[in-house]
Amino acid sequence: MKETLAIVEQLHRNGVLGSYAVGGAVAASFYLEPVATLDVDIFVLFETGPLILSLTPIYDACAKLGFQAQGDAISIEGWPVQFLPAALPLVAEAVREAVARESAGLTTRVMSSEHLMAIALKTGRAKDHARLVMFVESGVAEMAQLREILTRHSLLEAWTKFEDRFLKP
Amino acid sequence: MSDSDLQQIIRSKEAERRRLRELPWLEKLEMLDRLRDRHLLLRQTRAVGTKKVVDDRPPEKGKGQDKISDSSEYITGKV
Repeated sequence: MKETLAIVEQLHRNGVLGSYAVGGAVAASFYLEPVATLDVDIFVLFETGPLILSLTPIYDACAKLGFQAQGDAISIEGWPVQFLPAALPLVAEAVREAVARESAGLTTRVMSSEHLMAIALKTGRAKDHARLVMFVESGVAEMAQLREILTRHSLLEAWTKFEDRFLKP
Repeated sequence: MSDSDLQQIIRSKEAERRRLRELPWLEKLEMLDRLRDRHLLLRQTRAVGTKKVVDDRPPEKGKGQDKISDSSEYITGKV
């Protein structure tokens, strides 16, 4: 995984990727106890707003480095990596406000816990709800900040439903 | 099991989860590698183990051969 994230950061520094952020289960593992996942979600912001959002340059650059497409992902250092356009306003904001993490020479960019929670709420699958419960129980998120995000993206009603269903005894 | 036993188990699990949560993120990334390897291995093992489940009870009279059921649909996909 470390090698995979190092390559993604290298693609960013080489100008192949614009702003990006790690999302999904891998990003959640930065804040919570790690849980098994089979792939890495990298959300990419197309700052310039091209007429056609294309991931082709990323695929081409990866191919030059010897990393081949594998279904809808690219296998980078043993991990399938999905590059996903940050098209939704909530996801675009999550990428813009991602936190850079640096340690032992590795730099990567990770969505904030509050944005991960908001995205999980919006996605709304069973595993997203489970992850949300883990976030709430861990107390790692700033709830005031989460509430601001939920308000900005019209998710307060969904949050109330989630609270009623999963957090109230 | 008494209520206090149960509470003790819950507290112990919470402590372990907190310990894992507080690990340095580089260490967590290494754990993701190991968790994925283990998950894939388990999935592979399950696939081999459940592909053909042979019912080896003796056939009832007139019902012919042993039944073979394919339960491979229970193999889970993406995590």
